[in-house]
Amino acid sequence: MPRPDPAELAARLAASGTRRSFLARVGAVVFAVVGGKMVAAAVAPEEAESFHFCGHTFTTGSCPHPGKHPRIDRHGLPLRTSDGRPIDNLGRLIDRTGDPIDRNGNRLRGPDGAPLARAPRTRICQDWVRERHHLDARLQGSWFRCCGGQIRKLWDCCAITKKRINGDAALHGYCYGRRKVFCVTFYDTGLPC
Amino acid sequence: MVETIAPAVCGSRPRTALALLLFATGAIGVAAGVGLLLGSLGSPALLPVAIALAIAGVLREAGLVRLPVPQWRRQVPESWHHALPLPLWSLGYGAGLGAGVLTFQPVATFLIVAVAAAASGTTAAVLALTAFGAGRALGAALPPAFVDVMAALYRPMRRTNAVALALLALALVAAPAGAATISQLDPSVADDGGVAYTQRAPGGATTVVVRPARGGSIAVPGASQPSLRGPYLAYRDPGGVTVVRWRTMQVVRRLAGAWSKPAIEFPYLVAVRSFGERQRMISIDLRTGLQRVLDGLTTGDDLGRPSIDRGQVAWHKTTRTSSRLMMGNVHNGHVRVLLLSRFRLLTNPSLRRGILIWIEQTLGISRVREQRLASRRPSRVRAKVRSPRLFWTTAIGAGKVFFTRWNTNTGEASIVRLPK
Repeated sequence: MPRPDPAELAARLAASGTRRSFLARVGAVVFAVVGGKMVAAAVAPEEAESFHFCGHTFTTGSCPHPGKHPRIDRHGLPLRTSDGRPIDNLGRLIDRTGDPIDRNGNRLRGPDGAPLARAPRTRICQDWVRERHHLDARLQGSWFRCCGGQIRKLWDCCAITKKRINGDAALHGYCYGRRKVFCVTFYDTGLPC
Repeated sequence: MVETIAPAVCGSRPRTALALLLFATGAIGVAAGVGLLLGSLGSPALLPVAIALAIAGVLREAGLVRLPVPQWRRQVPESWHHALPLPLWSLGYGAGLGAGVLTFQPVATFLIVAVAAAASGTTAAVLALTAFGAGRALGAALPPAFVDVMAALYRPMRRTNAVALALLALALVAAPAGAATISQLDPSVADDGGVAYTQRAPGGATTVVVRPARGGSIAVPGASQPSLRGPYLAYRDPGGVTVVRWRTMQVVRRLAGAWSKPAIEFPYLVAVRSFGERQRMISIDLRTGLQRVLDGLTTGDDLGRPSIDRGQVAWHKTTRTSSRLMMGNVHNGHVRVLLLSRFRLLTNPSLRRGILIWIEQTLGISRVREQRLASRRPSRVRAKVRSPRLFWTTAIGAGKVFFTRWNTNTGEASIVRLPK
């Protein structure tokens, strides 16, 4: 029996990973092993159609986020939607140490003229949803689309809940076990497609 | 328009007066609203644009260059006064003209003044646009014959307009945006109603101002972050923290070094001491000199301005992963977390007689919240603003709640007072 090519397997799994959360998990593992460039080949070169942000064609609403859309980094922390620069929980650009800065990189100052103190920067799904909606939420199933010339990982924020953030019935989506999709986030991988 | 608000159209003199009143209300109200919007959304960064537009306007109005004015080339809808009742059409006409941009603009002045207003802060913008609305109302109030004379003087009026715009350009060049604004922040209130606050000049120089309940005013130049309680005033100055009897300015205690954010309730003084990146919240018994560390941070995170009442101290503590309101006891050093949030920013609490107020920021909204500590009822919102405005420091006492309101675009800060 011929062994499948790893790149081909990764591409196939990434392309079909939206069917089953199990396959999504396996796809993610293979994705990590053989590299994202292979996956890029599996994603259609056209821009994915958007519903409320690029790549998201379903109805579940965005997770609460200090920016326009729920863009996060690989740890689940908020990023500015437009350019992917890190922002704190108040939506302010921050530098490497977490201090709020303006667009030129200068420290923001308060009405007393002193540099503004840091604000918390916490995980959109695990921290924000947990506190705002009193749910034990986790980032779980994901799928990939081509957006802005790069692969976008659309990531479900899953919780054991009957209702989603929209207020109506939550869907199982790509969540594991008894969890259902409460809200959605995305992570731009930077890999061209 | 002018002929519309007349007895021949309105039916009688009382109805004409009513139409004129509603027209003026609409014009002034909408113009002031536009000013408020411009001032809120504007920024001093618009100042160079305003100066350039004013110079272009001078050239245009003097007839030296031909420049188009962005506008909607129409007049108020004539059908309104046939189809609508008098109160509606007169108010609508006033609102339409007060908005400035919904009708024909023979001169460029309005747009230039609007941009200049947006660059000059909320107060200036509201005043400038309110004056515009009043001018619109005056146009309807004056006799038609006078308006005819004004129309005949169109060319001289344009030259006058050019001179006015030149003066505006000069004023904008001479006075940078926001330079005339003196900010007031960091309120502190005594039980008898006396208030102290920091006054910050545009150059950054600060003065602590004490306004006793009986009237008058005392200034402490170079000081900031006041805390007023009974006869005592604590403040930060270049040398550290100083405690004085404010009526005589007799020094009670001076803490030299990196001390800041004092809160006084004699004999206790609570303040933050910095050791490089580390900070400590320390209470000091001014009679014995005994110091007790209430809280600390080992990184560049934030320990906020404390508030002390009946031996209980409230302050905020912000780290990268959480925001907390803390409460400590100066007598035994016991500290507990009052509130903890991992997504909101909770800052600047003030405590008096079992009532806690604080600022909560999240998703572009800043709220002043109030909670009775002995009550299980949820906190209530006392005030709310949206970005670019924020709330800053707070104070509570003498039956009132005080807080600093700050515009992040213009840098202006002022103190707002609400009944408790």
